[in-house]
Amino acid sequence: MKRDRLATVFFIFFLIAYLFQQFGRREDWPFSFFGMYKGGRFDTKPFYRFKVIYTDDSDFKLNAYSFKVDFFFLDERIRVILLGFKENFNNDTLEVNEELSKGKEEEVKKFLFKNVKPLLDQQCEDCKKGRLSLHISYWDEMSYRNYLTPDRSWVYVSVPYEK
Amino acid sequence: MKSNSLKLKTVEFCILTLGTLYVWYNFNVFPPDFFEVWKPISFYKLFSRPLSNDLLGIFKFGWIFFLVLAGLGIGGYFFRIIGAVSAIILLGHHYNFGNVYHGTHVYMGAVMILCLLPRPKSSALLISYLKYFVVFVMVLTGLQKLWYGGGFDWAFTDAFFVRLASHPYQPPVGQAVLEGPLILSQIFAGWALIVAELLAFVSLFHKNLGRVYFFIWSSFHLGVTFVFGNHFMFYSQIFVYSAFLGLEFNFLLLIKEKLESILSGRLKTIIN
Repeated sequence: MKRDRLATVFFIFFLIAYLFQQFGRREDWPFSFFGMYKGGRFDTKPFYRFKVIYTDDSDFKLNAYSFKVDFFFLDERIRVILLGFKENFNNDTLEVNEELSKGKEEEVKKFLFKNVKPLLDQQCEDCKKGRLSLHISYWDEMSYRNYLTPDRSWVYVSVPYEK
Repeated sequence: MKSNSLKLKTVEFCILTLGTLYVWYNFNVFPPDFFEVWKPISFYKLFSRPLSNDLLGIFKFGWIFFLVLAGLGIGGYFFRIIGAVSAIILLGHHYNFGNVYHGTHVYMGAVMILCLLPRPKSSALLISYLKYFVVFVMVLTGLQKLWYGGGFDWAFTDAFFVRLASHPYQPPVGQAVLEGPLILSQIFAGWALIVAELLAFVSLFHKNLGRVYFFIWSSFHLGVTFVFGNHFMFYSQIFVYSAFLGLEFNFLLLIKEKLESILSGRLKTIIN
């Protein structure tokens, strides 16, 4: 009976440690080892993600992933050519060279006008007037954050758009 | 009472023996330059560099040998502790290179519960711990999606679609989901979030519901493979879900009976 109680206490302690690690996101915490076997959704590789979002005055947003295949072409072009990304071994995340992305705003704007705007014109019936933006999100390494909650997210360039 | 003991033996066989062999089978699948960057976390910070291959080999042997035998009911508490500690060190080692995986966390948690907790006298209590742990992880995963993932957006917007679209490779089923209407990806995400995760506690209400959830969770992992590809390591969790099945068999006893029947048959033949 005493052993049963002891086991129960240890088990509750185990669950609490697991819970705190999941929500505490403390990489340096002594119980982080439990967190290594986490069931959450975390990414710890440094990488950016791109969204080309059309926003009009009523905050209507169009996700560029709606373009499907076309977007992957754009995504790759923006990542590799304009921002100097190189593919890493996993092939599903990208190494980042932040320095290379600096000072290329004009180039990216031209790229958006030339490649993205025609797609919007052609495929988005609701897009009439607003701003076409390139959003960059950055997930910091070992941050233990959810992939839907980036550490930093900003608008890299934004150009006026009108059909 | 005896029935519970047999159930526990079955669960231990499924997790410690079959689960260990399965994780071992899927182990060591790392890209060539995986071990180049040492970014230690947790107690690995005590080490200035990765453990040597020789040392890892020893831990690997300790993990597989002792846990597989412990799962068969051989070796007792001593085997369990050596096996579990070796598993902790070995399986945690590759988390120190910048990537965090979550394919074996439920397996590892179950091993910790079975091997490192003070052994309760009641076998049913230990099985209950496993059930509570699985439900706890499932519900927590769902809550995390709500907490960090913008509430129910995961199920009712294009969040899952975006995640799938940004995945570098989609198997045929994943491609079909992308090409189909948005409601299809919402059903996938909603099923996983609401039924498999947030409502996981329902499995504790009745043993038959537990059995139903065994299939729900298993099909959930199979579905992830069909839609996203790979994710085979997650199947290690299915061995832990076996705690919900209420199966009763003793593997060693089965072998013994089988051998006895074969031998007695031979003897009879020889005598005749």
